[in-house]
Amino acid sequence: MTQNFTPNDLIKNLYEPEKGLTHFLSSEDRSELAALHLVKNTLDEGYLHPSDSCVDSIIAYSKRNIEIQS
Amino acid sequence: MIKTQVSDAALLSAYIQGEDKAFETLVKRSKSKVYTSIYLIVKDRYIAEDLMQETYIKAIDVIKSGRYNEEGKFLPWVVRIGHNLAIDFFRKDKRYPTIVLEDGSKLFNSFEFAEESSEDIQMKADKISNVRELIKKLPDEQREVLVMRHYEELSFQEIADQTGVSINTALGRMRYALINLRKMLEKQESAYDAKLYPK
Repeated sequence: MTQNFTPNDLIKNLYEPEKGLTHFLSSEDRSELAALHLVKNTLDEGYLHPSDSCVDSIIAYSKRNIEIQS
Repeated sequence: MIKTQVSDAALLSAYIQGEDKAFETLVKRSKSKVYTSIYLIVKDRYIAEDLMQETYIKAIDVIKSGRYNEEGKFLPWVVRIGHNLAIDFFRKDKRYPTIVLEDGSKLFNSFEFAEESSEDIQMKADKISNVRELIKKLPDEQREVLVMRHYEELSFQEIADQTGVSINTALGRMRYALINLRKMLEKQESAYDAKLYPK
């Protein structure tokens, strides 16, 4: 059984998926969602990663023995 | 077996309770998003790393002083700190011009990163530069929503609240942003194919 989803529902589902919702998508909506996923993955591929030494020094700073105020 | 990921809020709370490892996980989870969002502004890996360190130091100081109150929205908060620092850097950079070498490169760019080969860096830089160029071509309203949702990880409801539009408008703008990006990517691909396999 499929339901009618608006184009905006698909976008919401792409970024904030609700459990089980894809079961109700029509084949047309599924292929639209798959195409949108490809674009989303391309945006992810654009991420750059900092060097390990940069990350290590941040982690070292976070472990400094300073009591956290509450 | 289902693996569940500990939320940022739970990790922060653990860090506040004294579990240093929890912050390490938070850094590893958020580092690429924070770094990329800074790089997109300063366009220099070396400066972006400096600013990223400054960003997390600021965040740690706020958390350790007990002033953190973002209620679990760690990533958007830390991305915002980085964004502000990058903008400040640009303002200062205008006052203190960068030293440009004879070949036209900036002084900072002449340093190499030990962890990656210059070829890897170039490939990644090309990829990100391409994505960035495509994003730049989007209309302002679409670009704003895309950056807020994809890179800053705000929910559509939060974007609607912050930009003063309905959630449906925010979703619609995101939809058109993705459709336009898809068209641009397809156009690039067919141009690439035509170059590779001329008729």
